[in-house]
Amino acid sequence: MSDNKKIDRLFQEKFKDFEVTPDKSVWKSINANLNKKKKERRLIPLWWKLSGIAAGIILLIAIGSYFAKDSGTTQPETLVETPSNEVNSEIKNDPNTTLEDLDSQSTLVETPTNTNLNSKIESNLTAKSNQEKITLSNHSNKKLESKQGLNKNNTALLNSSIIANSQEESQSKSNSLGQSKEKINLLEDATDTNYNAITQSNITPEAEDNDDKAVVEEKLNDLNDAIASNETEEEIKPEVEPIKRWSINPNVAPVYFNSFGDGSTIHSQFINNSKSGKINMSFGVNASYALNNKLSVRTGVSKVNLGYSTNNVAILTGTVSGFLNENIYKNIAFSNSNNSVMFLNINQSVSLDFPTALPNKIKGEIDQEIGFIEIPFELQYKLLDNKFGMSVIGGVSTLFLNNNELFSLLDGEKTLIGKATNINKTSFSANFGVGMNYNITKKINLNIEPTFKYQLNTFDDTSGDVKPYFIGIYSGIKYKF
Amino acid sequence: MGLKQLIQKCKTNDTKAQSELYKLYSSKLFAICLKYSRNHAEAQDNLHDAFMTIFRKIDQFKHKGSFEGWIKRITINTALQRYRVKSHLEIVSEEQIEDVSVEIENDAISIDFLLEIIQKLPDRYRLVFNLYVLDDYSHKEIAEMLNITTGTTKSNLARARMILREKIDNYKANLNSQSL
Repeated sequence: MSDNKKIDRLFQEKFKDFEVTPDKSVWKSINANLNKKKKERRLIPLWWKLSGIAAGIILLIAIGSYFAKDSGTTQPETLVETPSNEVNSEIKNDPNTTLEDLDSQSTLVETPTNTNLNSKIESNLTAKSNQEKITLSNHSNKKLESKQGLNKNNTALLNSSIIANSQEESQSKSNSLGQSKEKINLLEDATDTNYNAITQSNITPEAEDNDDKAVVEEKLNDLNDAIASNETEEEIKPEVEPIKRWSINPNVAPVYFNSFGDGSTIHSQFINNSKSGKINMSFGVNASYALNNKLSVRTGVSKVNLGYSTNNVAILTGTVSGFLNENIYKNIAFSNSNNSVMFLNINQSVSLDFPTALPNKIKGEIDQEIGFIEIPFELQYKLLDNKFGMSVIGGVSTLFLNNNELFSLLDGEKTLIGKATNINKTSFSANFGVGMNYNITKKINLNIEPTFKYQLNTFDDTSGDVKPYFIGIYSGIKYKF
Repeated sequence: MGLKQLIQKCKTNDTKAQSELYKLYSSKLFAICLKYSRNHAEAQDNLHDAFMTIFRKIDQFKHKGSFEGWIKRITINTALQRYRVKSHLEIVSEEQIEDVSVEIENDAISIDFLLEIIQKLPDRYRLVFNLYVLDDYSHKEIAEMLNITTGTTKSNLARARMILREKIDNYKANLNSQSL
């Protein structure tokens, strides 16, 4: 025994103050990993915030546009725009032609102020840029005020005078050859008044000539008629097809589960093992509310089962002395009945000179089966809405774990090992999908939605790079009411 | 900055504090990793994993025991974790062996050599030898940690000692023949 003490003491003394500085690369990789963890931790709250903000904005826009439509302000706006555009085009067209036309006109019309008029027209053209600005401001004025005015029909003197101005201007440069003497007079008036005066008259319609007013009022009446006829047309339309806002959609889907990147949710030794995703089923029901014709929000509840296999695993069953240690597999809680199962990466055991001792039949796989209750919150935007419809879908799901099992599969014999301890009870997924539907009647449609769901924090402590996702081809019948 | 403060900052994932803590303890912990590993590369992997665990679990450290003891235990556990799985596959005959006495006269042996022969021990022998001789764990504790019987740990320790002695003797014989 003293010899033992001797050798022990030798090592103890030598190793007493044993310190070795590790390579710098170690800290670099630790630091990189720490930063990665921090980013991952940040990812979820940030993502929540962003999606919350996005959803809020969309909701506000949707509600806003809904109320805007109801109050009917959008209708007069479009109505006003048509006549004003006409005026605009008249004004825009004329500068090139005005001079010639007016020359010819003025020769046709025998007036003593002929030369005078020409000079005035010239000055008119030189001030063109100035004038354009004025017409612009006329337009905006007109739009604003006509909105107010139209609701009260005909009562707007302001309105009429403004339109009169633009009319007047357009007339002053109008190229129609068959203009009457009267109009030339008008033109004379218009050119006489300098542009400041014109702008002035925009604001103070009282300064207008009575003659002008008469012409203007005629035009205005025409406009009002046009407006009235437009109004009746547009008011009738929306009543024909009110949106069915609510719908309910039971659905079922085959779902395929897999992971991007090499990694193992079970143990680091399985990082390089081949893994195969499994196809399971999901079924549930969605309720959807249409915010407008294009956009709807929906939520629901569904049950989704996922699974995948880790292949090439040596599975040792029976009493394997000293082999099993529950601590070895920190991610597994072994079920009591079966703590004599132990598994290893086949490739690893090969490298350790063990395969001769391994009978062939121990080569099997580990199946992981996970089930969730999924609560989605998604937005659906219609791209096409005919007999055949198309839409894009985006959103998030909250996944509540409700099934968690690990099995060993050996020679077709499936044995429960236990459950994984590294799956979060609550996790999330980001969802992207394309929806296609076929409207059988106005109330019922058939739909199919291939959807990709990227899981965000399903697993806690994985080995290697595990980025799980699942793809589902959701099909269902939607009933609108 | 006091150690307590440093730990506190590490709990908030302060990068500077983490770097500081690493500077303070990496040499000591790397020495442990070297003893428990087969080679330099594995020791580096273990050190990496150990520090990741330390930083991840540092908020669980409640200043009840010594911090150094705590991080040493984590480091040893990290090393054990790695070899627990693999060590199962070593075909070790579990028959009990007797201690054979081997004389050691000379203490002028380099630590590099000792480290080398420790690293060359079969995994479980190395773990048991380190735990028992260098880190003061009892056979009972070791048996629990490695999930083997105390009989096995004792036997493993005896074999480890025997191999080490043999190598030291050879080394000395070489030295003697060179000096002659």
